[in-house]
Amino acid sequence: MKGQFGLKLLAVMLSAGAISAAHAYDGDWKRGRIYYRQVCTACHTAELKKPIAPNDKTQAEWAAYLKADKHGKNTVKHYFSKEYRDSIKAKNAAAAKFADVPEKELLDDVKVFLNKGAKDGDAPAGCS
Amino acid sequence: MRIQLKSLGIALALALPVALPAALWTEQAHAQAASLQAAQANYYKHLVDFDFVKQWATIPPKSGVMLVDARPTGRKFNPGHIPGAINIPDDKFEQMTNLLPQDKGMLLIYYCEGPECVLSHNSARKAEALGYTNVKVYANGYPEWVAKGEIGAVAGAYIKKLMDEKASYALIDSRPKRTVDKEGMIPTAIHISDSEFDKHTDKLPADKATELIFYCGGLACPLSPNSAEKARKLGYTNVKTYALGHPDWIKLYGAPQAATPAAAGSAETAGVKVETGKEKGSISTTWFERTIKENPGALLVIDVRDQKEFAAGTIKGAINIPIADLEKKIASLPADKVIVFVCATGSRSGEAYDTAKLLRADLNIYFLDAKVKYAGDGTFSISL
Repeated sequence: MKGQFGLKLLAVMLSAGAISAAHAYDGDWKRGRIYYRQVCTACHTAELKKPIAPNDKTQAEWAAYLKADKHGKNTVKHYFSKEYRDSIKAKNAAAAKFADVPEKELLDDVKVFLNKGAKDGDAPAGCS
Repeated sequence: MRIQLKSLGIALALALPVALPAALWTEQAHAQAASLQAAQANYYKHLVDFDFVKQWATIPPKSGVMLVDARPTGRKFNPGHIPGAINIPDDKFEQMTNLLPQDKGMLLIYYCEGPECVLSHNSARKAEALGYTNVKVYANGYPEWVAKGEIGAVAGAYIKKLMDEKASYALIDSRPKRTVDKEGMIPTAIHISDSEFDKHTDKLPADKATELIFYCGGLACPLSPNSAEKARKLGYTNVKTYALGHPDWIKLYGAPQAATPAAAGSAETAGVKVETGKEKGSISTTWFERTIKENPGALLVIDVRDQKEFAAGTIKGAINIPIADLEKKIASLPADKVIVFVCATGSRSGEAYDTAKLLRADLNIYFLDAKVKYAGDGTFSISL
């Protein structure tokens, strides 16, 4: 009896774990890298003449920046929105290719990439 | 009397063979002269000559002028017209006024089939009646254009007709290889890029009377007129251009088949059998090292590090496109070579691979997913 209950509990826990694992999205850092360079730095070098490299900030600084969600007059999230992507996709191949990616996923992609490429990340990444 | 009659008879007999044809000849000439006179009586008041038209029918086309061919479409315009002219047959003038320019002060030059043809003059008068203030007629028309040694243009519909009738012709694409590889050619066309024309004349038909039609990227592109002229110098007697070129064909008949099918994911290209690595898009490091040693010409190695790193030492034969510049320079990369991106750790070269895949699916690209040490003398060593 005890064994059966234990097995059932285990089964429930495993399936719960499986379900939550299925919902958790593992950011695709390679996609984040492409989006970052093709959409973010594209503006930051052309319009603002100030490249923003992942290795300009530590992981903690990036996490704080993304949490504050402020980007000039806009939010950071604005630049991951479908509306924003639609508005630039005619001239931006990455925005066009990722036009249908859910906003949250794309944000996670870039978060993972920035974490990896930060000053103190696994693979600090500059612009060049 | 008898002698006189006889001499008269002889005289007549002698005169007749001369007189009769002479009479006939003068009859014909008389008729022609009469129809010419009739035509001339109907000429439009503002006439221009060949030199005037030549300065306006340029490559690239000049703005502020419209050249109008007033002849029938299928029989006359399609097989040969002045390059850049549009076709508004005189009998369709009323239905096609939407083709005339908005600006009623724009220079309109009408032409048709020569001094005896009145179509252009009729159309010119109608245009003036609509309010156009700068209308001219090139009275000597298309026959003089050809007689003066200019090369005529054909319409896309004419080429389609030749194809459908399986007529004898040669259609030549004069654009560079990378354009042809990217965009494909018009069906049945052969490729002789204008820059390499002299090397490929063997591809032209042996019979110099065969109709040759050269095309390239449209009215602003000089490649096909250049090649057409070269073909004429070789003795080809029936040479034209499809002046509106490839973009017009696509508008009329849709995208053609690619000249070389996209080799997405294939590991065999230009006779090179590529060995791939573990990471998606990567190349086998041992295969890369061996190929650089034994057959370096098979690869286009692109070092995506920055200029300073590249100058300090790279792989012999590699070119430098820093990763930040890749998007700008991607259009110039060749589709017919195996391209391998390299950097210092496999990180930037991996990004270059992802970026290139996004922007140019037609390229054959790989990246070296490895740590590379560059000795500075063109040699390198890989550690994993």
